[in-house]
Formats: sequence, C-alpha cells, structure tokens
Amino acid sequence: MNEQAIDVAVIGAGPAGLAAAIKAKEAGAAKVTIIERDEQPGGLLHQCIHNGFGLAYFNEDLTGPEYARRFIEKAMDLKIDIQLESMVLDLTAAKKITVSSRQGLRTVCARAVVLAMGCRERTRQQIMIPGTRPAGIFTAGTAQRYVNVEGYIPGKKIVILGSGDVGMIMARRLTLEGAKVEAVVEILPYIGGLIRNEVQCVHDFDIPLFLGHTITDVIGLKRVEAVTIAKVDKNQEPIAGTETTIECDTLLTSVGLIPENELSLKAGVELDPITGGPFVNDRMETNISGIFAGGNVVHVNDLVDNVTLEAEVAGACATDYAAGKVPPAKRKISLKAGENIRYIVPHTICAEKEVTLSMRVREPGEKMRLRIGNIFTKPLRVVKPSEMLKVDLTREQLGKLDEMTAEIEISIEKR
Amino acid sequence: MAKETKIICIMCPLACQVMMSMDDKGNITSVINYLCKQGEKYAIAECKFPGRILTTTVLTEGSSHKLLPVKTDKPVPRASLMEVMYSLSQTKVKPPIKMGQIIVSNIKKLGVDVISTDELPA
Amino acid sequence: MVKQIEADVVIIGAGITGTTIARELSRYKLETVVVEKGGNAGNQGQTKAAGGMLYTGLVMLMSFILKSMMAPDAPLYDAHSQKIKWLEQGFDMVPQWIEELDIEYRRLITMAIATNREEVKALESLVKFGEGIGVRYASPRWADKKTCLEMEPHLTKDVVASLYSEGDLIHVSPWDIAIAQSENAKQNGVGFMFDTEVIGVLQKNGYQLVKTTRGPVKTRFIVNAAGLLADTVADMGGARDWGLTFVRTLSPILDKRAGKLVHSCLNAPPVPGKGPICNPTVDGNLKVETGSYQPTQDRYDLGAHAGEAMQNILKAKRYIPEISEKDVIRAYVGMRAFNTRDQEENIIEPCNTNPRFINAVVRLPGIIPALPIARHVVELLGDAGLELVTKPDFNPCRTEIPRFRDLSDVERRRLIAQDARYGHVVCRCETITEGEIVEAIKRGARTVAGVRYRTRAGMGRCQGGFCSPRVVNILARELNTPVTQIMDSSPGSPIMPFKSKELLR
Repeated sequence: MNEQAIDVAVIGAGPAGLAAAIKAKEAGAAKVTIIERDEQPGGLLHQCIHNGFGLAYFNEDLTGPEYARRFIEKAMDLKIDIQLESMVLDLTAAKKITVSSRQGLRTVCARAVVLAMGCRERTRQQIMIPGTRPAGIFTAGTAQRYVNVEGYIPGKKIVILGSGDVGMIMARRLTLEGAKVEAVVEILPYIGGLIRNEVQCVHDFDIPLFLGHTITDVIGLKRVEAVTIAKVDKNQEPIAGTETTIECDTLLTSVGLIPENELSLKAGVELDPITGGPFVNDRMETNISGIFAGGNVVHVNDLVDNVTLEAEVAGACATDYAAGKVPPAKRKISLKAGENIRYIVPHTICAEKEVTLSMRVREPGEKMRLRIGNIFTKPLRVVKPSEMLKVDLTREQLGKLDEMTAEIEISIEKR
Repeated sequence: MAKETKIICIMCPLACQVMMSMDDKGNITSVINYLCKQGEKYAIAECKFPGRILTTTVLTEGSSHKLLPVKTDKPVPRASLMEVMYSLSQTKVKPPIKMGQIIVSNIKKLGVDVISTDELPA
Repeated sequence: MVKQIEADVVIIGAGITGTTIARELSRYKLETVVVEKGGNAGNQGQTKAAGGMLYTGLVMLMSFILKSMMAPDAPLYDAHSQKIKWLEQGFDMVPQWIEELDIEYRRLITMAIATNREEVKALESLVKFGEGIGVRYASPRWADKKTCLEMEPHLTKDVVASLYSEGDLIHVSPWDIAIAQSENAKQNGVGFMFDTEVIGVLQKNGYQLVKTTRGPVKTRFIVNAAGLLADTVADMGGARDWGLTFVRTLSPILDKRAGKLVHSCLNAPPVPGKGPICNPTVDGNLKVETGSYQPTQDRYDLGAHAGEAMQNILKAKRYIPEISEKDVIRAYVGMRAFNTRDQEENIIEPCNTNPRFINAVVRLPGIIPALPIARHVVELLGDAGLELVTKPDFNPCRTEIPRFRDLSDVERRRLIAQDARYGHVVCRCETITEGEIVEAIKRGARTVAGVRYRTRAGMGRCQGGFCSPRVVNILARELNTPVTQIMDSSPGSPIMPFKSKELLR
C-alpha cells in the first residue's frame, strides 16, 4: 500500500538536499526523490534575503533566494521528484522511509539515502539565560523568518545576544526596517561570525557592540521590558558591579546552531558529540551502509557554498551505492583532532581519492601552521573558531602515507 | 582639513585595521597598517566609495507571499541606505514577477535600480 | 450594555483546585462560573509549577523522612491528619479520574539508590520506618547491584543496592488535568472567563458581586482557588487569620534523548541535601529534581538562574553519567505557596466573616488530593445553603485531542482520511499536526501558549523556533484575527506587534 521504490532518497530540500539530489541524478541515478516538509524547496535560503552567497561556488555575489532558485530550476530541469509538505516520520537502517502528508502516510524504499536535514538554532533555554520568560524572546532565525517571509516585525527596541552571523544580519535587517537595535552582546572577547558581517551589519549602523558581556537578567512578565547586561571575567562569569540595564521590547538570541539528527538516530546513525552530526567517511557515508549525509546535518558550515560542495559528494556517492558500484575500501584511516583542532570532517578517509577536509579550531590565533600528519603543512596567517578551515588533499599527497597508517593527527601549531 | 579614517578590511579573517589619511580635498595621502595588497585595495575602494548592495523586501498585493525579496543592482552609498528603505516602504507589487525584474528604477535618483531576487508566481 | 452574568457559584482560579471544584459542581443543577486571570486553565501559578508526580508509598515515605530531618521538632507523621487522609483517598481515585479525563499518564517504578554502605543503612532504616507506619508503606523491595543495573542500565556503576516499589507512582502533566477538567466542566455547563482578573467583591443584599476586568458577576457563593494570590482574593471576601509564604524551585527539563536513559523515578537516600534525582516525564523528557525549596518574598520571582540548573544537572549526572548539560531544553521556575497558620496543612474552610465565601488554599502536593478536597468544598457549600440537586445528564468523560505521534500507522491513515490536516506535521520536534492545533483552537486555545499546553506544539527541543510562526498563522486564520494581535499567553504579550514596513512610515 502506497509504497514507492527509488534509487536515491534525499531528506530535506534545502541547499544540501538540492545539491545532493542534482548530483545523484547527474551521476546516473534514475529515480531520485527529495522529501521536504516545507511548502517550497530551498530551505532557509528563502529567509536569507541578504547577499554573500555563491562567491565560492558561482564566483558571483547572490542573495539566498537567488542561490536557491538556481538549484531549484536545475532540479526541475532534471525532473527530480520533489515531494513537498511531506514529513519523514521514520527512517530505518534498511532505508525504508515513512512519510506523512495531507494525502496520507506512504512508504518510500530507497537503495541509498542522503540525510540533508540541516540544522536548528540553539534555544535560549539551552544556555539558560537568567530571568523571566515573557513574550518577545526569539532565536535570530525565527525572527528572520517573521521579518523576511511572514511580513512582521517583532519590536521597536531590540537587544541581540550572541554575535553569530544570523544575529548580526538581523541587527542590520531590523535597523533597516525601522527598529532600533540597542545592543549586540557577546560573551567572548571576539565576534562569533564573519568579519564581513561585523563591518557591514554592526559597524555600518553604529550598533553598540558589547564584547565580553552577557545578559544577567531578563525583565518583564508579559512582554520583555528590559535586559540587564554585565561584563564577564575570564571564566565567563558576570562581574558584580558592572551591570547596565537596557530597555528593550525584544531579545534575539544568536548563540549557535546544532545539526538536526533526530531522524538519523532512528536509523541507528552514530553521531559525533563534538559536531552533533554523523561520523562520516570521505564518501560522506555514515556508519549505516547506504545512508549518506551532507551539509549542516553533518557539521555547521559558515558558507552555503561549502554545504553545496559537501552535499554533492554525498549525492554522487549515494548514486554509486545505489548502482552497486562501490569498491570496498582497503583502508580506513582516522583523522585525529590534535592541538587546537576542534573537529575534522570527514572523520575517516580511505586515502585512495582526493578529499576536502573541513576543520574548525578551538581558539583564535595568529601566525600559525596547519600540520596534517607528515604529509602536509600550510602556514596560516590567522585562525578563528568562526571561520572554517578547508584543505584539499590530492591523491599525490595522500600517496605519501605509509601503508600501515591507521591514524593521522591534524594540529595547529605556532610558527 | 586633513582627516584620518580607520577601515577594517573584510577580505580575510585577519581583519586588518587599515589607517587612511586624507588631505583637505579628500585625496588619500597615506595607507598604513595592512598586511597584503588586497587589504590596501579594499581600504582605498571603501574609503572612496563606501557603498553597499541593499537587500530588503517589498510588500505584495494579491499574492499568497506577503513579501518579495529585492536588492539594488549596484551599491548604494552607505549614507543613503535608510532613505532608500523609507522610499521602498511605499512600494507594493503584484504578481506575476520574474526574478531580476526591475521593481523601482533609479530609486531616489541614485542611479541604481531595485530588482527582484525571487519570483512571485501568479 | 454588557449583560449581567448571574451565577450560583463563582470560582476564582482555574488551576488544579479550581477546575476540580468546577467539574465536581457541574454534577449538580447549578450555574457555575470560573474566573481566571490567565489565558488558559492550568497555565500558571502552582499548577504550572507542579511536578506532576501522583504518589503514595515509597515516595511519600521518603518525603516524611526528609521533612523530619529538616524540621526535627515537628510531629513526623500523623496518619490521621486531614492532609494525609486526602492524599491517600486521592491517590486511590487517580485511575478512574485520569481514565474519565482521557489524559496521558505514565506509571513509574520508584527507586532509592545506595552507592555505599552508609546509604544502604539509611535505606534499611527507611524500611523499618515504613513498617512502623503501616501496610501502604511497607512494600518496597530490595534490588542488588546486578538487578539495579538490569532495571536501569544507564545507572552509575557505583550503585550497591536499591530499594524499589511498583504501583505507587504515576506521572502526569499537571496542566493536562486542569485543561481536561475545564473542558469537561464546560461540556457540563460551567462558564469560563479567561484573561479576567478579579478586582473586588461587594457584599449586597442576598448576593455577592464579583467585580472583574471584564465586568461584574452576580453570585451567591464564591470559592477562592486563587493559589499564589489566595491571600489577595481572600481579603476581598472577608477577614483572614493566615498569610502566604513562598518558595521557589528550578527544574531543568532534558531532551528526550536523556529521557530514554531512565525508566524509574530515581532518588538518593533521604538524607539532607540528597533526595529526588530525576524522573522521565509523561512526555518522554527527563526532569531533573532540585530536592530543595528556596524561600522567597516575591511571588513573581520567576527568573531562572543558570548556576542553579547546572548544579542540579551535575548532581543527577553522578547517578546517570550519560546525561549532559547540553540536553537541557528548558528550565522553569516553580513557585509554591504555604499558609502561615500551619504550613503542613491546607486551608479549606469558609471565611470567618463570610460563610458564603470558601477559601480553598491548597499547598503542594495539590493534584493527588484535588478530588477529595473538591468534594469537601462541595459539602461546605451545601452546608452554607447551596442546593445540590444532581444533574441526570452529567457526563464525566471527556476525550482528548487525537495524539498523532502516539497512534499506529493504521490509526494515522484513518485519521488523515477523515481530516487531511492530521497528515500535516507542524511541530517537527514533537510531531504535532495541523489537525491537532485546529482542534485545540476549537476547544478554546486562543494563544500560542494555549495551543502549546493542549498539544505540546513548541514544547520540544527547538522550543517553538520552527513551529511558532506556523502556529501563529493557524491561530490568526482560525480565529480570524490579525497576526499582530495573536498573544503568547495573555493580553499584553503579543508575539509580532508590527507589520512589515510599519516602522518606516
């Protein structure tokens, strides 16, 4: 009853899902289906109306909707089946997918699956800001949807906690829409997002930026009336006597994103506690054979272009898998996060094909050097936790590896 | 009167704080405190014309989408961004609209067009 | 001209106590009106703060011991006290009660864990103490290390033994009961005025006039079930010889991932500073217990403090090492009131100077004894002259909104075939469909909180980040109200007060 057999099922029609499906189709899969819960494909790109997308992938400066449209049109040209307003309720390791929609429940049986569910925002409760719980507190992304898609403005006086990219972009956006952004408050001594956003979203509009500060109280019982901020010490604890109260009617939080993997867990996919996403190999395959993953569901990227590239690998490899064209990997080499490396994606490589490594550092630093085992070094002028490090390893470089290598340590060292 | 300005370079995460000096005619007399050519180039360009592509939305009429995202086709002087926003708040568009279609041409006589960045299906 | 509302009984407060009394009164041929300050039943005050543990046996036993340690001079346990009698009667009524109200519940095993010899001794004395009290408390069983770890595989390997009991603990969502009772009472003819504050009571010739922010209500009898504001409301009715003191607790709620790690209600041996650890909730989350109450002067002191929550999680982590502070999805502050006359007891009595004004001031635990207390209030009203003529058509049963997430695929298919909106999932964390949200609105939800408390939409790990704009749109559509006027919980709490471009004009 209502069963559909396909080659590659892609879960999510955001930038990752679209790219994976297109690549899967181009690689030769006959039946590719994207299952998407929203009413249109494109995911969060629709609410990201600002520019800065596509600089790496298209060498053009596009807005979110423009970037999305290119992929949506390509998917349509390729006649990829996009099932909208369809919620995946269950996914099994045998790649049986249960989908709910207004038309009923249906089952999709896929030879290979690409997870492309993206990520969600951390909520304020997760970092437990002190104070009451009145209306007027939103994550920056939720506010972005209201402002850019739904057509509403949350308030007149805004305070933003966290200097992630979405937070800074919303500071500019709300200023342009006529609200007053009273403060951007960041607990770390440095900005959490890209320098471009600091300059063009915060400095351009003379928005007060409080680095090394946090919110110590939210005031208001029905709607936010004010917040109290204070300086923090080295341990990020508020310093008594440094409190200032800022009147506002809205508090936005931009305190990080987490890959959305509840569905992955249902299929038995193992997650890396550091990234919050699946452990993947250089084919973007998870521990469950035939289940691949790409984009922010694996680790939170700062550029959509990288999401696209990574999902393309997942899509192409899913097609190979569906066609039974996967040579068993002879080697499985673990990449170990060494000095000042927080994580590396992929987690393992076979060293038989070129691979792009994505890494994040723990601490900012200047005049550093990246070292990948004994096969690669690269001087780096600056490293920051907010800016992802990417390195392409060629077959030639990987060829330098000893036959017996089981683990490569990657580290950042002072020059 | 001679003037000094600080420009934060956005070309790489290093974020050099480039110091610019200008004479009373606005000509750049010195550029210091940058680490690469790109930084110098960016700082000079930013100093001469601090312009930004403005991305925003306009209201719609007769569509299930409440807003249409738009952008300026060329940078708008930073000082004129709000002026453009006030002007655009009066604009309402009706479907169908194609991507890239001009919504307002030569807005506020700045020599830039406001174009749609998405389609608005009929 | 506003039509004057006339009632036999006005109940002030739609928490557990108020809604239980309302439902009990709806068995009789009476005009009953409930006036509630908040937007929904059970959404505020002590009901929202309640832990939802319906217990007797081992949990009660441990609470006796903890109390005796904190207040060594107080009499330890009086099996004949009114409070204990109501608790025991109430617990026995729970199964039928939740069956009639059709609410979700979860039976839990109670487990007290010992990690060293001293703690084993503490548990041994607990057993002895229970045997002294009577049969209801004498049934806990021992489990050795191996059995403990079989029962709770994620428990610390430091466990040496535990004491456990079955059948004496049920977990519910407190607001579920209040909402279900308000629906059932409404079904049986009770009127509800939400978002309505009582501002005064006037004594007239032969009746009382309850002045509210939405006009006056003429009534013969008044029941004060105002919980945290019971003192203020009591003053409107007459004199009182008691006051209220307040304590606050903070309970972190953890993601369902953590909820899956624990099956029982876990406790440390009842010694000062220890006690309750954590328990899975009816929704499948993990609730970490504080085990301590902090006195406060301010009943509106509802601000959470991160440090507090962290301490609790660290404490629980000693027992369940796999839980993490990253699992916290919410931390809420609960406010509880005690009366100053006898903080161990409830005050259920007519006002000294006004026999037609009944004060029902219930301290925690308030859900377990709610039914016996409500029946007592009905008796008091009868004593004061209220005619209690039973209604032949009273229907004690209410049906819950279909819970898509808990249905089998066959049931889901059937439901979607009946109403396609049940196929459209709106809240992705809790798997709540548009059909459920529309049904909640039909049943009286007019705010985002009203929908949340009736359906769980927005209660999951993303805390409404994804679904709240969608819920707001459905509310606006169904209620035919502009989005700018959709409230979070009560008047004055708009979600999105302005339209796009409005601030630029």
